[in-house]
Amino acid sequence: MKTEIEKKIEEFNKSKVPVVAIDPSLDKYQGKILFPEKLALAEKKLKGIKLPATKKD
Amino acid sequence: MKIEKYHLKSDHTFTYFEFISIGSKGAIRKMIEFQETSIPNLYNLAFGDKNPETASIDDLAISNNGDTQKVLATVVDALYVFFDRNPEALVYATGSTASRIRLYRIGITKFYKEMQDDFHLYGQIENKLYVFEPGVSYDGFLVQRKFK
Repeated sequence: MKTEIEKKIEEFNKSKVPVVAIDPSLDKYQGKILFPEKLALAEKKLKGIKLPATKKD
Repeated sequence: MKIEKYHLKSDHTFTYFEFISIGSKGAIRKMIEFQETSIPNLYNLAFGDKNPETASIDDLAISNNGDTQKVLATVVDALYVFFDRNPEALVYATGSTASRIRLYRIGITKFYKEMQDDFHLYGQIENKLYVFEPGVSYDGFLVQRKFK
């Protein structure tokens, strides 16, 4: 019988989601568009596109 | 095969990521941003170099730092983190030039098998989306998380 901690460790080791360090200095970018040209290009290319359904399979 | 990746840092919302590319041209600070678009739940993945002197972001910079695979693997890592926080999101990526789009296609192809387990991958041709196939040229790419 695995303990809760062992289960969590197992889950953590299996996860493909990497561990990311939070850097509060990056919070200053919140609400800002760092790459406006890229966003404009994406908006232009996405115009009229039919997207896949977003609901769960 | 174990693919090398850079260590990622993020803001508290897991929308802005930073890492340092280390290669033949030295250390280059890179930023990844998941940009909200005018389409609800659809984000544009943008990344580029951060100029430490001016603090500006150069989205057209081509670093040629000799670590393209490691950089792309790190971008895929950021994608995993972003989807973990925003499971119902759609993420779009395109390049500002044909060579950039080709680079992204090569990158997706490289991680295709790993990503296919977790994501639906689409390639855009004009205003239509098709299931991504390696070796096909696309105008852009769309990623959606699979729910198991």
